[in-house]
Amino acid sequence: MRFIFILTESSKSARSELCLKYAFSARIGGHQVAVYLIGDGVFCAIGKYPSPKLIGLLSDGGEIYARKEDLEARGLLSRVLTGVEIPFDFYDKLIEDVMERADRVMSF
Amino acid sequence: MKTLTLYLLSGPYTSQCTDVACELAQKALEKGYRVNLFLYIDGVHVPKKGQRTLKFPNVEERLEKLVQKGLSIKACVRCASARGYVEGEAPETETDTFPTTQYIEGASITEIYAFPSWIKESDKVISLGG
Repeated sequence: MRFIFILTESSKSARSELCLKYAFSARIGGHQVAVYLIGDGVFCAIGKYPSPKLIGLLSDGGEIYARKEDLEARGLLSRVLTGVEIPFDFYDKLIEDVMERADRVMSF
Repeated sequence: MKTLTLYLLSGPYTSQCTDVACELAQKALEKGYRVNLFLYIDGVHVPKKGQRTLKFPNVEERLEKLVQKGLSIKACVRCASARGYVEGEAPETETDTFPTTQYIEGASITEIYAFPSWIKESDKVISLGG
């Protein structure tokens, strides 16, 4: 199965912890996982105090996408973790993934 | 045609959720999908007429453009009534929507049961806010 997680909460919120926990569990369970970080969700993609679950996802084949405009608005573009992808057209990729590839979509 | 339903629980200008919903709706419509937007709790403020913003993108204007491109918008009657948008006791018989003059054209107030109906006919549902 392909799971998509849409995360709009910052890295310190309980919802973001829950999202990454589910995403990591799905990946460990052998599923395809893509996490899309939007708005304050992009704080999860920076390198200072990354979630161990996010690091685990990156090292285990999970896909992490962050929206460039939201990174720029928060001054984070230069601090993104290696492995986090920044698509040219974020919403184009997200809609394509949601509508044509995903089996399950969850938002936090 | 595949259908995407967005479920929005936050009002405009308090978080980025309304902007995210608009971006998702716009891109999905451009790609030829059918898109529904169901408004719940403070989400019912989103289609209010007469929004005037100085520095933020105007959500009302954005929604009007999306409605012209095919976006369907429905708001929960209980949430809308509690916030003063419903102007009558019963739904209008022809449309099964509750009367309001405060919403933009294309947005209507309905029973909550419209939402599970939309879910049933949707390929994907995305919840935002709350």
